[in-house]
Amino acid sequence: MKDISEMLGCRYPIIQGPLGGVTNPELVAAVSEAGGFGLLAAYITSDAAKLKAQIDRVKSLTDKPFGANLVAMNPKSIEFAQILVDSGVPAVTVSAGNPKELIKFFKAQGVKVLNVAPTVDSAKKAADLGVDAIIAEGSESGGMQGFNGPSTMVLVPLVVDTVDVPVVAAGGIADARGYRAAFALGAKGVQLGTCLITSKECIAHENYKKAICEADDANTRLVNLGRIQVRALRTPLVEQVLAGEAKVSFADFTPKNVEAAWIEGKLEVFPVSAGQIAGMIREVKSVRQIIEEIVA
Amino acid sequence: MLKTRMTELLGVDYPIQCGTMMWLSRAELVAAVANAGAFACLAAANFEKRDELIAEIRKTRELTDRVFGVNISLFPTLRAQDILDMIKVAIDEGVKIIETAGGNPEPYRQQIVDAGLIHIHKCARVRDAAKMSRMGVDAVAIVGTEAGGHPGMEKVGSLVLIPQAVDQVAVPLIAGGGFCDGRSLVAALALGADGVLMGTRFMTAKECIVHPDIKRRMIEARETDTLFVMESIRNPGRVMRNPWAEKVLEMEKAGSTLEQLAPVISGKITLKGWLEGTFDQGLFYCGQVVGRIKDEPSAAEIVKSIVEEAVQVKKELDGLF
Repeated sequence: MKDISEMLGCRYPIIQGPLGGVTNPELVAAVSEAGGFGLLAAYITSDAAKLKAQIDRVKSLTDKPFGANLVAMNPKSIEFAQILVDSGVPAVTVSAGNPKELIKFFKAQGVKVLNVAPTVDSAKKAADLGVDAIIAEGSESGGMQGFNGPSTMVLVPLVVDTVDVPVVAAGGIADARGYRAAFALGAKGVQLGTCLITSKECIAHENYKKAICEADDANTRLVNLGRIQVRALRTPLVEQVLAGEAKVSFADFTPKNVEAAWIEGKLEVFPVSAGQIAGMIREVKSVRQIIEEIVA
Repeated sequence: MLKTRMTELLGVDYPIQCGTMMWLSRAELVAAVANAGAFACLAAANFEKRDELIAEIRKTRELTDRVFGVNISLFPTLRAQDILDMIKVAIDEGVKIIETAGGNPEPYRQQIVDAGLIHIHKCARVRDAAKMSRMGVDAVAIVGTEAGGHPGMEKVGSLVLIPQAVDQVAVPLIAGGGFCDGRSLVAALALGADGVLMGTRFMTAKECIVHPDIKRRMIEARETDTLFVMESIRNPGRVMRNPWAEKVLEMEKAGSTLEQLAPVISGKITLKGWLEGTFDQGLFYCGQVVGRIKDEPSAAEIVKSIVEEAVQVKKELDGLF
């Protein structure tokens, strides 16, 4: 296999990372239209009807293939999986938790499964369960993170050497140089997150996009929410949390707070996720322009 | 095929540096790397007395007629150092390349420039790399958080740091943190760097003085088996996970002062451990890439395999894009 685009049926080996509360169908469609593989974030969808509506909306905007991300530990995932199969998506990505059941389900239906792995151990487990590809996600990436994970530079070649399926590099990639470097490390594709939050088509609030564009290389921090960590921009709220003057916990990670901060731009309400590569992003561009520049 | 501004500037065959390592960058290793066509520096801070540094430089020269450098550590130390005198020793002994790291080299610039030396400064932040380039150093090295030793407070990965440093640095850029083979070297070149430095890769080299028992521990280690200590005193060090490191972390959590930490973070204990193989005693600095190190070749074999793989990967990559 030359790269992951063959498996996904898209033009370029570029997958859109699930962006939680700012993964709007218009963004997903724009990524697929531009030749990448768009992904709905099914894990933040509250019910089946909403997921169906999102899928219909994407389909109304593009006839190119797209998929969805599921969180294995979410009890609703199996119900969502059936909807995704019925809608005819060719591939899904699965993160966080034991993917065994989801892999079994999708494989029986002929849907490709890519598993997000932050360590070699998790990649190996998923490969043994029969996934079609591994998305090796380094600690540079934004959003949910484990503890003490390796960087993309270290993780990707290790996973490439450990599993027999194609590996997609995630974390720290936003331009043609990082794209090329990922392939040098043995990856067959990349996943992009932070640079797509700042795309024109993403529903993220202007304040959120502006904060990414203004960030330098040292402007993200890991915020400990208890069970998980989140890599977020160093907003005044995050500074206060790190200084012990404010508190956010997993219980605050609600759709309401996420919407207020990420979509309504009230950055004082909740941390806004971003990867370390935020430091390289300077301006809001269309999804097509972002992808064309990366593959140029 | 692997000629870059780094190889031109330093007069070496390959764009590979053995990252300078406290206690470990000694004559045998440095000379072996130099003889293999790559670059290495002696760590001046290894030597308490100037005569010892002089002797080590001379010993290295007996072992190689290739170029090598001397590293001057500007990191905070528990014992006083005479930096100006160390640089003077290097100059008097005919060393042509000085690598500074761990602090602002400005007070020593004039001395280095007047002697016509090539000056490399190693840092961990893009803003410092940019500042050094403006200051006029001949090359800048930047290390990502993956690196062993002291990769800075900000914990930014090399994949992210390198292209941003490339955009802000006019002089040759040497990238560190996560490098150990031809694939990662080509990745660094793709990101725009002029070469790489790798420390951990050379720690299990035959010519490195690390005790066989610790080399074995390194070969067994996974990519998740390093951690940061000394963040509380603002000089984070990436070390192998062992009972000693866990103890230091506990002391830090309990609010220990530098004075209380000094006896356990002492380099003397680390040196003893490296030499005697007492893995449970001391802080053993190394990078995340330890999870990728599986053998104990000679320095020459390391350099040769990196170069061969890099040439192959570069060809494949050029075919893809």
